[in-house]
Amino acid sequence: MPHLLGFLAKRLFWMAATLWVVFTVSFFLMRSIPGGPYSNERNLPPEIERKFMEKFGLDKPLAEQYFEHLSRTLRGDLGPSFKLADYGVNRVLAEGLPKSAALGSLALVFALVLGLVAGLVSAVRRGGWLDHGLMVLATVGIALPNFVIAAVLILIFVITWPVLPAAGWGGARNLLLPAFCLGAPFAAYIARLTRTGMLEVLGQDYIRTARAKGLSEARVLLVHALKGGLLPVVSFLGPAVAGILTGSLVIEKIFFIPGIGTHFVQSALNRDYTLAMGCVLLYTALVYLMNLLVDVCYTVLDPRVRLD
Amino acid sequence: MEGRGPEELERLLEEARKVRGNSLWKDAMRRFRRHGAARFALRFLLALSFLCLFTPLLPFAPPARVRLSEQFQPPKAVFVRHGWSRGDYPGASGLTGRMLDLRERIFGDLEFGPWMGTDSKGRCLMSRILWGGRVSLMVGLVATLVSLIVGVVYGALSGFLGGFWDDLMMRIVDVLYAVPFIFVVIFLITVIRENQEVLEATFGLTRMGVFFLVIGLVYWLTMARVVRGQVLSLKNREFIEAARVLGASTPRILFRHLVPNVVSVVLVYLTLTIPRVMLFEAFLSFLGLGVEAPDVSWGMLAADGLGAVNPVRVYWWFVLFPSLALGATLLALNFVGDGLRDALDPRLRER
Repeated sequence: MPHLLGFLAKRLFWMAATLWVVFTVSFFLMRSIPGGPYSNERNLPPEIERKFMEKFGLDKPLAEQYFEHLSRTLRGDLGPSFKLADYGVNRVLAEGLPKSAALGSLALVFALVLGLVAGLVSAVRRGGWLDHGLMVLATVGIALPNFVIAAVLILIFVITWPVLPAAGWGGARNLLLPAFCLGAPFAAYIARLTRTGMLEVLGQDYIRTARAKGLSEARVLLVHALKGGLLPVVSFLGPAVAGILTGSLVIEKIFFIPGIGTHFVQSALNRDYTLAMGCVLLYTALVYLMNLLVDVCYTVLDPRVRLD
Repeated sequence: MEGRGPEELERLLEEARKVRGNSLWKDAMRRFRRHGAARFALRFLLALSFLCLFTPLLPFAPPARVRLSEQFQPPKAVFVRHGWSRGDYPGASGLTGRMLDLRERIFGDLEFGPWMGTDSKGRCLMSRILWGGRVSLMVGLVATLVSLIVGVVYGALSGFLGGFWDDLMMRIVDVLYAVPFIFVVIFLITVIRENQEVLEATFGLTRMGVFFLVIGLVYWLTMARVVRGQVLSLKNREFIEAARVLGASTPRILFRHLVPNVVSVVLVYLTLTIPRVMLFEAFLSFLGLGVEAPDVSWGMLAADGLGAVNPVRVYWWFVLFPSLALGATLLALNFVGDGLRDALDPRLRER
């Protein structure tokens, strides 16, 4: 256990360092714009611009701004949004996060369930037409961008055969299509990884032993083989979560889901720097934490792997 | 050994000369040719690149010409008419401009189409897809080249130097790996767009140039790791030692033994990077953060098409063709990458 604590401390330190680098780079990029964030607004009288600058503390020296901003961020306050009046970045993110989280976790569930089932079936029916078909499908799923998949599925399930709502945020039915589109490429990856992992494991001695003991095929596959075959999938989960977060930018835009992805893209288009920076920091922290979680899970599943 | 006279030695040498070992590349070519899907994909990509390269010569409508009277026309098989004008290509100069001049001399003001229908502003979709292909393929190639140069130099240097420098350089890569670059790049692009004039004045970088550079700089990390690993593992391998024992000079070892082995890995990784870079470009352009009008790219066209989806009228061509172009190209690139990997490094199969 103390080993685990040390590991966590080390990783959290690196996470803090990464966040600090991202913060600093973003801050100075933001401030390197000549004329300030309001210089491009049309019809903004200079006195009003001055008031704005005062309100956001942009009239102070750069170093003072930096430390003020840094200490405020450390206290967990990401500041006011430049463009959305009366909205703090915290509030925008707090409203968006649950929606994005619901979409992302459903996508991950889709990816895992579909990927594992497809991979298992493929491995069991190795060389058969089902195996070939599934693997071709997986290749297609990996190659296609998720908005192409979304376009095709919208044409089918919303327009031609209207069983699902086109867009918006509301019930679970609204989430089905976007979550599937978001999870599909990762389901494809997971299917490939599961197939390879299972094939490797199925050739090993302990599987033969399990069969020789007279265990049922289902038990051999699902209890004995799956645990070993799952390892590559678990190590893929870190990148998969990062990829799902990235993909949600596009999917939220297509399906008009008001999550953080939509806010991030909007803030980038509106040049709302504080909001954009808040999103970047949040995404960085999320990706880092997910990777940490995956690493810890990995050592639980495979005792040969040490934390370090 | 004493029974062998000079004639016999001569005969043995003659025999050895006749036997040619299969080189790495010949072997790889043979294996690649056996890979049906990869062969087909490669042909498709070559044809597509050819088509995109010579798009200015083809008798289609200008990609940016807006005709609101011709909105959302479905695909038409045969449709020849007059009305093309060289003036609809304001930005075209250099080679593209000369190709357009040549096209004017061949076809006059004739134009064919719209074989793939028109979009929400009455522009010929086929022409837009072809011109968009020029941009998308170019981004794929140039940005990958940027990542190749940075990654290979960094990785090779790290591998060759070894020791402290290797540790330091790889630790930097580790830290950079942890940063979710896509988000940082979006932030970067937001800022860069604001300062476009400044950048152009000080560094002479156009909007497109910045875009290529930024995308390329995201994808060098893995390349650096791959090259470093390869250099490290090759440096002490038996066949390098054997070559040295046989008296091969350092340049010979470097160019005959080390480089071909690194090149094969780099080439495989390169072909797998191109689709990822193109995907990233499409992703950014789809969000409205990448290529900007009047330039066209496939990501942008896909976003346009999806934006026009509505339950009242279905403009299927507007959604289908751009997605098909992008999807087929990415799929083909993936197949070629897989085929090359299997051909150049059969041990990596099934991974």
